[in-house]
Amino acid sequence: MSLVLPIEGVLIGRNSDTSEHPLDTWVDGIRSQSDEAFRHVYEATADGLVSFAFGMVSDMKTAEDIVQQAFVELVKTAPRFRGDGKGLRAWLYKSVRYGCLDEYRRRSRRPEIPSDEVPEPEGFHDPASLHGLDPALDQALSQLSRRHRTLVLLRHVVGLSANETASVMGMTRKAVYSATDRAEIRLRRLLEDSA
Amino acid sequence: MSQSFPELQVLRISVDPATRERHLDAIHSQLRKAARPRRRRRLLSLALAVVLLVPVVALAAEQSLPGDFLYPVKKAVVEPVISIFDSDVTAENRVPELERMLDSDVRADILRGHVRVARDAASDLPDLVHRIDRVEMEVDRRLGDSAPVRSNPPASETTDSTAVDRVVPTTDPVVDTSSAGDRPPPGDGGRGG
Repeated sequence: MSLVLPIEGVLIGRNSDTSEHPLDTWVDGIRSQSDEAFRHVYEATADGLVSFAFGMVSDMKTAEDIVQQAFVELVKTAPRFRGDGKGLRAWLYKSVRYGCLDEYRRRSRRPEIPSDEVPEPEGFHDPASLHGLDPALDQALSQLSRRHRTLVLLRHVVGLSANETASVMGMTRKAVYSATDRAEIRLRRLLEDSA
Repeated sequence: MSQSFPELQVLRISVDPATRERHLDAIHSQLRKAARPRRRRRLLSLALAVVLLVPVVALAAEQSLPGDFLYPVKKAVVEPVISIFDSDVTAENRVPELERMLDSDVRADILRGHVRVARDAASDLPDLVHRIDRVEMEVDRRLGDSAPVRSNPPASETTDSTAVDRVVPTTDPVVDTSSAGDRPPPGDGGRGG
């Protein structure tokens, strides 16, 4: 079980687009499916990826499973990967994002069952109660569109740059800026309304 | 970013050790699975190369002549295998070899040795013996045509005894080698190849 801790000063993402990237060193090892390379890339990105997934699906176990699946997929496609360290990180966030979208689709297909008839699944933990996540925040995030929620999480929680976010979202940098502005305005209004 | 959201910082998570270990185990397990097909693909490629190469090499070896690179493969591998189905393969190979060497202007003294080998292999096969006889006649004719006319051949020159017989000292009679009947019998000290 992952703990939700306010972490000060931890740079999960990069806000500058310099030419060298911490993951550049490991790209060749990833392509050759080196155990050591995968370990290093995992250690460098796991916190950010799980944070992002958790913010998207609001369930820690599901978020962890999505991130695990992203790395399993990376192993399978690694020999065909063409890119640098920046591209590798964008690939991972993209993969987690798709995993979260799949989770939304799965949830939308589940039949509605009255809550008092649903036995609590074994191992299920309400992240809001267990991890102290502000229910108002959870509520506000769930009222954002998926696109706005993704942008807010990537930019404000993970700390990706506009370029990196554009790469993950398949948008232009300009579109990322304008969409993020709109998302921030909407989120601020929702948080104020719930306060 | 125009606004900051301190409320969102609670979403910054540090993955706990048990989850890390589970993730890394899953990655490692997938890496092992990925390595297996690679090894299998390599083995399959090697097996395919061998399967494709063997008939090509065997075919090339079958066409080889004494002195060629693949001739030892022909003698040691191809013929023993074929002899399982055709016991006369050795004789049936030696005679065409002889004829091809004759056509390729291989030295007559070398051919003489191969004539002997072919005759040994084909002693029970009259058709082949007949062909060997024809080759031997031509070999003898060439040996007769190429015999140097000199009195004292160098001591190091390893020539066929028939050729030596044809060295014509000024006082000895010339040996006529054009008639097969006058020839000394094979195996009479001739140099083989």
